[in-house]
Amino acid sequence: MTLVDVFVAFCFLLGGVAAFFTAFHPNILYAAIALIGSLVSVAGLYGALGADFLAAAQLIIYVGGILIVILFAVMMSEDIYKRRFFQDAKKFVVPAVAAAVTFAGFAKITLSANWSNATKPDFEPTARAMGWALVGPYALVFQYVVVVLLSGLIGAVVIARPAVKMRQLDEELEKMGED
Amino acid sequence: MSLAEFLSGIDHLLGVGIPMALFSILSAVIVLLLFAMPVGGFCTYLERKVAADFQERIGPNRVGPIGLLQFFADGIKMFLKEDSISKNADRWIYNFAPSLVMAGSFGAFAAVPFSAYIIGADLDIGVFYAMALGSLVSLGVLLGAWSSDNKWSLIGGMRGAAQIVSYEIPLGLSVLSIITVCGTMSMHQLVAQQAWPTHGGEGHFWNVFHNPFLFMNFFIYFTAALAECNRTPFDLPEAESELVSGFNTEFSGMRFGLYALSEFADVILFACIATTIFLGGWHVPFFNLQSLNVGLTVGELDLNPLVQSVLMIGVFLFKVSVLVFVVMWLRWTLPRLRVDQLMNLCWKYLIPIAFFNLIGAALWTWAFNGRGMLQLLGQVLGVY
Amino acid sequence: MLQEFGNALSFVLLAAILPPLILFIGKFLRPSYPHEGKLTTYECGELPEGSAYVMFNNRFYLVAIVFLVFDVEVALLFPVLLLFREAIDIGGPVSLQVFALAFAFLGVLFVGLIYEWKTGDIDWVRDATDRRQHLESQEKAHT
Repeated sequence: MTLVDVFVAFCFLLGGVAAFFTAFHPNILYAAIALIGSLVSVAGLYGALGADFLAAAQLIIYVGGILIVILFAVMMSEDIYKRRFFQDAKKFVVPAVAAAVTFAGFAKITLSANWSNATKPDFEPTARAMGWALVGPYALVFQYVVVVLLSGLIGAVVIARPAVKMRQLDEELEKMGED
Repeated sequence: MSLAEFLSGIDHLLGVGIPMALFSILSAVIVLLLFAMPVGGFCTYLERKVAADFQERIGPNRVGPIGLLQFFADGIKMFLKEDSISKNADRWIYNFAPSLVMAGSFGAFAAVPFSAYIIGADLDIGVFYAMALGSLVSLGVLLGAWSSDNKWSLIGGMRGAAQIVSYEIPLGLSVLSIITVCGTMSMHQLVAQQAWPTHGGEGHFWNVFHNPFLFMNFFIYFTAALAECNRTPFDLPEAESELVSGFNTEFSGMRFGLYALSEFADVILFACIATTIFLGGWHVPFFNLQSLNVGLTVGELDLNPLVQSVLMIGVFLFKVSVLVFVVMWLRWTLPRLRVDQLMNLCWKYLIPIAFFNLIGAALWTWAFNGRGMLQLLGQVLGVY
Repeated sequence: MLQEFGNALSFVLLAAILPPLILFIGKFLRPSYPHEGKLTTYECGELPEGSAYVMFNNRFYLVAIVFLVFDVEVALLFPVLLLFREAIDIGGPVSLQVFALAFAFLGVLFVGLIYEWKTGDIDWVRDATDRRQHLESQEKAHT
């Protein structure tokens, strides 16, 4: 057993435990924080597979971006910290079915793949190859991503736009003043 | 060549045969415990001394000559302080947050090239790796602040996280312009490209003098880095006059010490990265240190790399300390920004200018085939 | 490469282990005299007024979302712009292709930023802007 194997085993363990806490911890903030372990372990697995750029991108986008957004959402919602989720078993049914279906799908893919062709990662730099793929065969996907990002950008600010209450208030005040 | 390999070369000569994994850990211990921590600690002394000089005071002067050992005394004091955690604090997160901040600021030191032979980890994605680890800091600040159930902390932490993530964009864009011009992300190769132009026309000198757009981007990088480290004029997360001590109000003794240390480590880290990608790392004008040959040998061992390394580390640390001094100088020069001014500066000034510079740098690279101003000047004058 | 990954990992692990290690060693050396007063949350010497976990200004949330979009953009542009020098050396249509794709990507999001700028959505104090615009339009109507 090499050190890489130990590292991969550690990542699996960390990811599994963190995912368990994310799914079952009654305190929503702890669930969000357990996500750190889960996301970092995925970055570690990318690293162990030789995908250096992907590992760093995982950290920068998921841990530094999405997790911050999730934490902000949790922290800015009133009383959410004290509330306990998953008190009744009914709420478990639909997620459990969805998770089982997803798991079955992944299991089928894993079992049907031809693993004899699989090779060990060769640990070559990957960023350049990724770049050529993004401007070559996946150029359309690359440009599609920006459209998705743009719609996300505009959608977010439009939803977060405060209803024009302040202006209405001003108008009402002015009217009162005129009267 | 990474530090671990450098060390294993010595081991190879002696013929002991220690496994490489131990050298990895040893290199981390050397860089973090023998460089980052003492220098970060020393900066806490330097900050007070610089502040004192700017205000015509004496500053720390009791411990050691001109107070040089002050940080050592402070370290011992903090180490021996009682560790009181307020009873409302969320213990788990409270204990976990400093680890995140430290991993973010100290872990990124792996990508800093101190000389041509000494770098923690010569990754192909060096700059990107440093940026990726930097994103852990905002998480640590936010969680640490939130876990202490203190209003000052929470306001500071929210501001801190929002500020750090916002300024990551201009920072990333200015780093991107360097990547566009140099065509590599490896810190080692980035430095190698910034040699003084030789007769073959190799090397384009420091990136900051490559073209006017990169010159502008250096200042954008510096401004964004100030905000990333929560330094004045962007010290809203720990604004002493309104938030007591900001996000680390509830952290006492050594816990506070760890936050302060990682903050100074962050300043040093950003100065190191700025030096590497903009100011030519260990390169000096008119001369390439790597071509230096003193002809010293001990038996079969060539001492040249060692002599070169000492000079290179000297040059590198000189540039870094100049930048760190400017950071401290700014603290006593500029007033603090308001939150809305902070966000305006980021979204309405820095990001559009960085966008413009990125396009400009790409066009320059295309038009002049990657040559810098100095190389073009040399061509016009017929030096090459 | 694997060796370099190992080096980087040892840096991160050492940095993450340092704080608990230092605090653990310090545990044997530092005094501990807990006192009710010491353990209250600091609020300038007064007794703390309620909990700190209250509803917070959602501007911070908006900043985080807008950041996320630009963060993904910057991260995706790294591998593409990395090729630019190489593409110039290959020359002709390849360099044009890389340039066009990268800056179309940048440009579209920049348009998004300009849109938000014009509508005033990236202004920190949205309500104040609204009110100011309203007052300005009223002034114009009067004159």
